[in-house]
Amino acid sequence: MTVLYDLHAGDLLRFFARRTLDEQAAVDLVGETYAEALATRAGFRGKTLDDARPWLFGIARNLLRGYYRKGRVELDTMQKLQLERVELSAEDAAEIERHASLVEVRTAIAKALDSLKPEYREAVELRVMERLDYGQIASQLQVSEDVVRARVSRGLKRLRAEIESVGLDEELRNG
Amino acid sequence: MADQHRNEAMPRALGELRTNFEMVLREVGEPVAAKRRPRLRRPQVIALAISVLVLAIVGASLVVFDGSRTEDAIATIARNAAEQPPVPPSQFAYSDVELRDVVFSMDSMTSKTPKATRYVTRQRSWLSTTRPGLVETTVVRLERVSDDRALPDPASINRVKISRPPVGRIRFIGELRTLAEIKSIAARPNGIQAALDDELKNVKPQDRLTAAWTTLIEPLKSSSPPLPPSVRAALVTALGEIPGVKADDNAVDPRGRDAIALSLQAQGQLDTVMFDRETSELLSETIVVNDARSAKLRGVPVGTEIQSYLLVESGVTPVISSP
Repeated sequence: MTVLYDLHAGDLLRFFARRTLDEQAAVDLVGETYAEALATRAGFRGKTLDDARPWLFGIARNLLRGYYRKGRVELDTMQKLQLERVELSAEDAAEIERHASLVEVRTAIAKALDSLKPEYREAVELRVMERLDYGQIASQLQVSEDVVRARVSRGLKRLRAEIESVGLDEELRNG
Repeated sequence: MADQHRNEAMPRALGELRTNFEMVLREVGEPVAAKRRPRLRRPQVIALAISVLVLAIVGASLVVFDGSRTEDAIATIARNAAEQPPVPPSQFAYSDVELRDVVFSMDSMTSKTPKATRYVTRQRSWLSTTRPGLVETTVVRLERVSDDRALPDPASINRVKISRPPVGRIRFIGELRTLAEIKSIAARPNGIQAALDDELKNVKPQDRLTAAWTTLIEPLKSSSPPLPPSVRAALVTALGEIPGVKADDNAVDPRGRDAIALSLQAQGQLDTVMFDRETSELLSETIVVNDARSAKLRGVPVGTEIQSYLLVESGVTPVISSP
């Protein structure tokens, strides 16, 4: 397992950091990925170290989905295994920011947001950053919920295209 | 092929996580093959019988909770909570909390007799609302000080961290919200309930009671950012809406303080929280296994206390002091 850690932990950290834009969440998710891998290793059907990479990234994608859904990292398996959480200092966070080229990602997102039509940008900001539900946004913008859903969907689609252009999906393809 | 993926410069945080991971690997050892479910042997039958007996005793003790008094007890806690003064701006709500956890090791997944390790941790917090909408959450965490079954020695505290700068939003019923949003939710009739329903809409029905209980209890603890008295009162009232919650208005907490107890039995656990009878401060929470048949707790003996929160000291202070 330590070999797997040395091989893939850095890539997993980059994978999580570029998708969460939160250094602490990224480190927590790396820890939870390895804890989950350790707890479910009996189910691993591969034979080589290369086989383990898609398996690890499969676990990582599941955890990331949970993070998006809940808005926080659940450390259930780390706690069960008594795997100590690492709390980041400001220097650690800066180092991870460099490791994952987060400045580039943030710049790309800001640029992509700026390139959106104002009505799309407003809908995306209210939905994603302010975390309002569609009803609240509709009421605030004085449009129907269906219009809000369409604007958010189209805005996110455009954002995704921009984000992919800076290589954010590279790890997924490798995984 | 694998060498192509090797990480050349690992950030320091990953190095620390690797060290922690190695410690776990040493503890867990080699992969454990799935075992065939063994037949019950005589000692296990005896243990099962003892479990049933203890379960009966715990069940009988629950009769002490008089359902007819539950509503009155909750109303008393809510009223007292609403009457407490808020933490003044620029002052800190200080608390010193002892946390006890029992963690079951990997072996518990395949063994009939799970290996339990008890941990005792202290957490001291200085939490304040510095100005409207800005919550300062300065928490000084005292790292794990004991990994055995003895009480921790306060002198053995070895590491202190001041984490978290002031933040504009705090987590409240599953979402990051501003103080104004939190007050608005609490002020609306059924506002807490609506927020809770939204938070739990994807939770499985069998987990919903426990999830609702935990979600409402957490912000009432003094280790959470201080909330306005009216919000605390609304949280307590919402607790009383959870089906199956029982009250005992003549309880005593583990440190001998007079309290009103609320409890919920679900998923094989009995979770009891104690509120100060005068101030409605949350004094303690204990979670005890009371049904070993629960899937999540299979093999854990009935009567095992698996988690506790105990308020050792609290007050309002103008400064953050060293532990």
